[in-house]
Amino acid sequence: MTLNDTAHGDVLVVRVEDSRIDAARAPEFKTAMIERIDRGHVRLVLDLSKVDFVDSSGLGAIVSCLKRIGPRGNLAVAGAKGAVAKLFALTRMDRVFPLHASVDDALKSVAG
Amino acid sequence: MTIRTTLQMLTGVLALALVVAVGGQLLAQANARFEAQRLYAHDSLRGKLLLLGSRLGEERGRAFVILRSAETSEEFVRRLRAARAGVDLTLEATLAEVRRRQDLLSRPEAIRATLAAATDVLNALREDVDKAREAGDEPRSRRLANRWFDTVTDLIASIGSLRLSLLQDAPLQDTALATESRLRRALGLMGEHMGRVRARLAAADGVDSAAESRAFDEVARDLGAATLALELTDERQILGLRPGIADAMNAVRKEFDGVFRPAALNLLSNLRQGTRVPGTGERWFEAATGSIADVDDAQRTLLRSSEGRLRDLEAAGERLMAMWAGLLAAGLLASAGVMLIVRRRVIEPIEELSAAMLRLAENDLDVKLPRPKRRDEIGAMQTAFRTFKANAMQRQRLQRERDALNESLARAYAQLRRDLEAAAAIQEALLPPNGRLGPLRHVGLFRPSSVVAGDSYNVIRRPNGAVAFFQIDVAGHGAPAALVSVASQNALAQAALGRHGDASLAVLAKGINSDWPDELPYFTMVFGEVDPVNGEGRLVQAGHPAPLIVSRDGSRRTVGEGGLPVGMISEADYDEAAFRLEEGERLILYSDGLTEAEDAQGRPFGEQLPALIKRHANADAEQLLEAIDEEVRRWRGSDDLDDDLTVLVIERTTDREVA
Repeated sequence: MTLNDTAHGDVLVVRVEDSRIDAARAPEFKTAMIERIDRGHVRLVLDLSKVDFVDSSGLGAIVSCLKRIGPRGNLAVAGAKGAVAKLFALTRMDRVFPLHASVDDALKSVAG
Repeated sequence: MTIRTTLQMLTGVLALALVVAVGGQLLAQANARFEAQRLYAHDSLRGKLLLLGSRLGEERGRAFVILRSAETSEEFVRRLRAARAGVDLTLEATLAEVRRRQDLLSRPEAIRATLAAATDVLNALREDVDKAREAGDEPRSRRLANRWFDTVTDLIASIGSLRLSLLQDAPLQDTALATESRLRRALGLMGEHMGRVRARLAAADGVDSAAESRAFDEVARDLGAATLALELTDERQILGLRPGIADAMNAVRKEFDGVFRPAALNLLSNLRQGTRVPGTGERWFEAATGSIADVDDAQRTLLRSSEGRLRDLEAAGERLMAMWAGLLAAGLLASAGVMLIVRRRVIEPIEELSAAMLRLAENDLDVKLPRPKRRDEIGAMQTAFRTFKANAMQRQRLQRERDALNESLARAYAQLRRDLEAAAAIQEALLPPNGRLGPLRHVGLFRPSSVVAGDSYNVIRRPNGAVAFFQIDVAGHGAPAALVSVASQNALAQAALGRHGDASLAVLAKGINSDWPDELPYFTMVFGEVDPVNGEGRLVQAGHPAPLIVSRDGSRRTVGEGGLPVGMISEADYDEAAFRLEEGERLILYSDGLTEAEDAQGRPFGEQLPALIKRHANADAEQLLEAIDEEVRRWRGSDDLDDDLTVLVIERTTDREVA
C-alpha cells in the first residue's frame, strides 16, 4: 500500500497510489491512516483518483478513519470515480463524509 | 581393487624386488667366494708341485752323482736318503692336498693319476739304483745314471706340465697374482736348470771324455737357460709387489750372478781343461744346493704372498656376502615393518571407516564410529564422520519433530475443516428451501467463496399474510462473516416476525443499526415485505445493490436509492422505498459478489448481468439462476469465487389460486 502525503496548511492530502482497496489491502490502509490521525492530522483529504475498486472492507476502513477523527476534525474524499463512486452512492456515503470531484474542492470544504 | 590389496601388493612387490636384487648380489658374492677358494686350491697345489719338482731335482742330482762316482762320502749318501724322504713327504703332502681340495679342483682324478704314475716310475728307478750300487758294477751304474737322469728330468717336466694345466684351469685375473705366478714359473725353470748344472758338474770325472764334452755343452745351455729365466724376473715386474718378494728376488739374483754362475763357469772351464781336484764334485754340489735353496726360499715367499692375496680375496668375498645378507635381512624386516604399519595405521582404520560410512549412508545411526585419537588425515576423517553422524541424528530428530508437527497440524486442520463443513451445513439449513408462499414463488442461489459464507437470505410469511424477505452481505467473508451473518439473519427474522402491524421498515432498520455492536463488522442488506395478493411492497436498501424488478418482456427497473450499511454509523437513518410487483414480474436480489466477480482481465461480471437477465426473462426462475451460475463460472474461468455470491428471486405467479 503506497500513500502519498501532501500538506496544505493544516490539511493533509493523502493520495492512494494503489488501484484497489480490498480485503487484502484494507488492514494496512487502515493502520497507515490511523497512524497519521494519531500524529495529529485530523483534517484529511483522501484522494482516491487513482483507485478503481473499493470493497466492503475498504469502505469499512475509510469509515473507521472517520470515526477515529471524531469531532476533532473532518475527512473529505476526493476524486472517487467509476465503481468507487457507484459504491459510495449505493451506500450513501455522502451522508457520512463530503465527496468532491477534485482535491481543490475538498480542501476548501475541509479548511472551512 | 581395495586399498588393502593395492597397498599389500605394492609392499609385496617392493619386498620381492629387494629379495631379487639383494639375492642376486648375494649369489654373485657366493660365486666370487667359491671362485676365490678354487683359485686358492689350484694355487696352493701348484706351490706343492713346485716344491716337489725342486725336491726331485735334488734327489736326481744326488743319485746321479752317486751312480757316476766310484767313491762318494757317507755324508753324501745319507743326504740322498734325506732327499728321497723329502720327495716322498712332499708327494704325500701333495696327494693329501688333492684329496682335501678335490671338490674345488677341476680334475683331481687326472692329477692323482699323473702323480701315481710318476711315483711308480720313480720307485722302479730307485730300486734299479739301489741294486746297481749293491752290485758295484761300475759300467752298469754309469749307464743307469744317464737313464735315471733323463727319466727323472722327464718326471719333473711332466710335473711342470701339470702345474701349467692347473693354471689354465683357474687363470688368475688379478695383476699382482698373475705377476707372482709368472715369477714362480720363472724361478721354477731357473731352479730346474740350476739343478741340472749342479748334477752334471758334480758328476764330471773325465772317464768318457766324448760323453763328458756333450754333458758340458748341456751344462752351458742349462746355465744360459737359468740366466734367461732369471732375466724373465725383470725388476719392473717386482715393483708393486710386497717388499719381502723384492728382497728374496734380490738375494736370488745376487747369489746366482755373484756365486753360482761364476763358480759354475770357473768349474766348467777347469773341467774342460782337464784340471780335476778330488772331492770338488761333492763340495760343488752342496754349494749349488745352497744357491738353489735361495731360489726355493724366494719361491716360498712368493707362494705365501699369493696365498695371502687369495685369502684376502676370499675374506673380502665373505665380508661382502655377510653385508648383502645383512642388507637382505634388514630389507625384509623393513618391508614387514612397513606392511605392519600400513596395515595398522592406514588399512584397518580406513576399512573401519568405510564400513561405518556405508552403514551411515543407509541411515543406520546406531553405527559405532571409531573414536578419533590421531592428529593425521585419518583422525580428521574420523572427526568429520562423527560430526556428520551428529548432524544426521539432529536432522533425523528435527525431521521427526517436523513430521509430528505436520501431523498435528493436519489433524487440527482436518478438525477445523470438519467443523467448518458442519457449520456450512447448518448455515445452508438456515436458508429457506425454494418454494411457494401463495402466488409468490421464491428461488435462491447460494455460493460461498469459502466453506461458509457471509451472505444469507430468508423469505418468511408473517402472521398477517404478508411475505417478508431479506438478503444480507456481511463485510469480509469466511468464518467470522458467517457467524455475523447468522446473527444478523436472526436479528432480521426476529424483527420481521415481531413487527407490529404496518410499523415502518425504516424505523426497524434504524433500530437494528443502532443496536448493532461496534465490535462486529457491518453488513449490507435489502430488507422488505410484499403483499402476495396485490403485489404491493416496500423495502429498505442498506448499502446493498439495488434489487431489480424484471417483467416477462425483459424490461426492468431498480428499487431503492441506496443507504448506509448496517452497523457502520450508529446514528444512521434509513429510507423506505415502495414498489409494486405485477403478476409475472420477478423481484431479483443479489449480493455484490455477483456483479463484482472478475474475469482473468479483472473485468467485473456486472456488465453482463442485464443482458443475461433479459435473455431469460421468460424462462423459469430456476433456469435463470442456473444460467447465472454457469455464466459466472465461465466468466471466472474456474469454480472459485473471491466473494460470496447470493441471488434471491421472488416471482409473482399468474396462478390465481392462493394457498
